[in-house]
Amino acid sequence: MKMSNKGQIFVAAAVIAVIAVASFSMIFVTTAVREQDETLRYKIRNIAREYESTTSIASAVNSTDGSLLDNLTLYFRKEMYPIDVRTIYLLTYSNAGSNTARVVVGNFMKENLNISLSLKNSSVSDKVLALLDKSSQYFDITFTGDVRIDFNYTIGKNRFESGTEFWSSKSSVTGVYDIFVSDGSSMIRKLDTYSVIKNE
Amino acid sequence: MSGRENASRQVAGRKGMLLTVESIIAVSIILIASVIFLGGAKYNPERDIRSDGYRVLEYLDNSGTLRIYAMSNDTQSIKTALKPVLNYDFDVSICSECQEPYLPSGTAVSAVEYHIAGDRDNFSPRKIVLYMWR
Repeated sequence: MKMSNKGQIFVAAAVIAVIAVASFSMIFVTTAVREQDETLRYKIRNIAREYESTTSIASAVNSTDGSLLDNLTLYFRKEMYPIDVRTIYLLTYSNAGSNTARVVVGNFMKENLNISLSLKNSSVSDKVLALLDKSSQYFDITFTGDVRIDFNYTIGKNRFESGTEFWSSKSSVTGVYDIFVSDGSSMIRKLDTYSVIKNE
Repeated sequence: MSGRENASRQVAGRKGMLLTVESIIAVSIILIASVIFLGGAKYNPERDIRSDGYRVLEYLDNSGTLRIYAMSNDTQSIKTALKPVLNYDFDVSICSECQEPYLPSGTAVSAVEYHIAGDRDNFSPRKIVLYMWR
């Protein structure tokens, strides 16, 4: 029995319709993923904002050893569970009057890390900090000009790098927050920076 | 009626039957594909509510008032500020170890959380929980 040409056109039309339906269904899937990511985006914006706020509070209350950011990160980990929050932060508190600055680095990536720093116009030019998870370290520098600090770290095969800078003529507070949030199926990263010149 | 006319009618009838069968096959393919691809996709109205909740809390934080109210544990002021911008029934908690407020039973309640680390010179993290229902 031979198929008619018209019938073949019907079947071809059906195949096209199936492709169309499949594409349409992808809109639903994509929308669901977008909504899931939207929640993570709200969370990560909330975290970044509060890191900035806490960096400012730390400067106001002369708590420049990183302990407030450490406490805040532990708070986020506990209160946002089951959302997984991981962070690396680098803060600088500079004093233009004495040409000194404090550099603070914190690791909350749930693994021990070596963080390499490279500093320009600073008494310390290169430094590698071996940081356990949930720990921070700080060191003090004197500077001879505008300071640029670059840092990098490696997790698995991925190398992450970022940096910050501040002027030598103005006392300031800066922060770089490399934040990762994950809900098990999606992960979002936000590299947030903060910089404020202090009134003296 | 001649034998030739009969034969030609039989051929036409067979063609018509073939067309019908093929149309049924085509429609079946479309229906089966629709059930497979679209069966799992469901609209979730709770996501819209939660998204609105995050948006209004972020809006309040941008305006600077959420931080002030949260640090003074002033839930009433947060409710007053949210009322004009939120089209649902809602309640608010401010806490570190939250206890749920009185919520309606038999109604789906959506909740979103927002965190505040402190204010100008006071580090004291707390959580604002916004409960919403239609």
